Amino acid sequence: MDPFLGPRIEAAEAGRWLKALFLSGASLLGSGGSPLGGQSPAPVASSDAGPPLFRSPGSTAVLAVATSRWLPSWR
Amino acid sequence: MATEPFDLLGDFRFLPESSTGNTRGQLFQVLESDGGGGEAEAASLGPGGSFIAVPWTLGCGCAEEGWGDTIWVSPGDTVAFLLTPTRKEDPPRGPPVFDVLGWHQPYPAGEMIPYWRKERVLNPDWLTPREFFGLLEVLPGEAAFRLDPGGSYHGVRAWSAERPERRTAFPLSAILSAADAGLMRVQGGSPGPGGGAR
Repeated sequence: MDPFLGPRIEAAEAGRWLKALFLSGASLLGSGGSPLGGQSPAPVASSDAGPPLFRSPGSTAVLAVATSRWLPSWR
Repeated sequence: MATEPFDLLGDFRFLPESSTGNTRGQLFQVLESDGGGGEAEAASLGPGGSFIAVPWTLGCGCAEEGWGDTIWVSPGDTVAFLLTPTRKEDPPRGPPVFDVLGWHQPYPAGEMIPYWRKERVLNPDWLTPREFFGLLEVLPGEAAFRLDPGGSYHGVRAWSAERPERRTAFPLSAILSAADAGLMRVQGGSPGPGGGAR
């Protein structure tokens, strides 16, 4: 048993944890904003692993339903 | 379909061509929106409108880039986005396209959203997508947050106070905790009784 991770974290989740921790400190393209609204003009590019704390100018909150799988051709 | 990086805005323009050669997107129908993006976005993102969302991962040299997962959002699922314009031009026909970081959007489908938490144990109680959409509506703007982190959170605190039974639900709890931590850094100590984002 890993004394740090403990028994309750499965191996797959431990891997994702490490990935999240890695990403939280490895924001090559981001500038420290939050992933949903922390940068301007394209806050969604951040790799930070935290929740959204604020909204960037011009952002739109949207509640939507997925109506397709991957589109084969959409442009 | 291929996406040309120079057609993209913001940090997305730095995506390598190797990752944009096979862009994939999904179609979404808008149920509600707050119109925060102005008239141009309001026209396409109003209730009943449709848009295409394209997920990306953005690597840091050794990380994967593009999007390779088989499933992103299951058709029929209701989810919440926070969208900003990411394309210089709308496609000549069809709905507009918005690029997002697919790890973190949409809620709750983003793979990394469970890791917004700081606790080791996953909170089984999550906000519904509609609740999260309501929370996004009251998040402060970036300028207000940077100018006055504590004061800018009155809307979030009011939203939370109206739903005391949801105060510990994820990710509201994580957002309030992170906001408190940010406020403590700004003030150099613990948040005061009125300043903490509770």
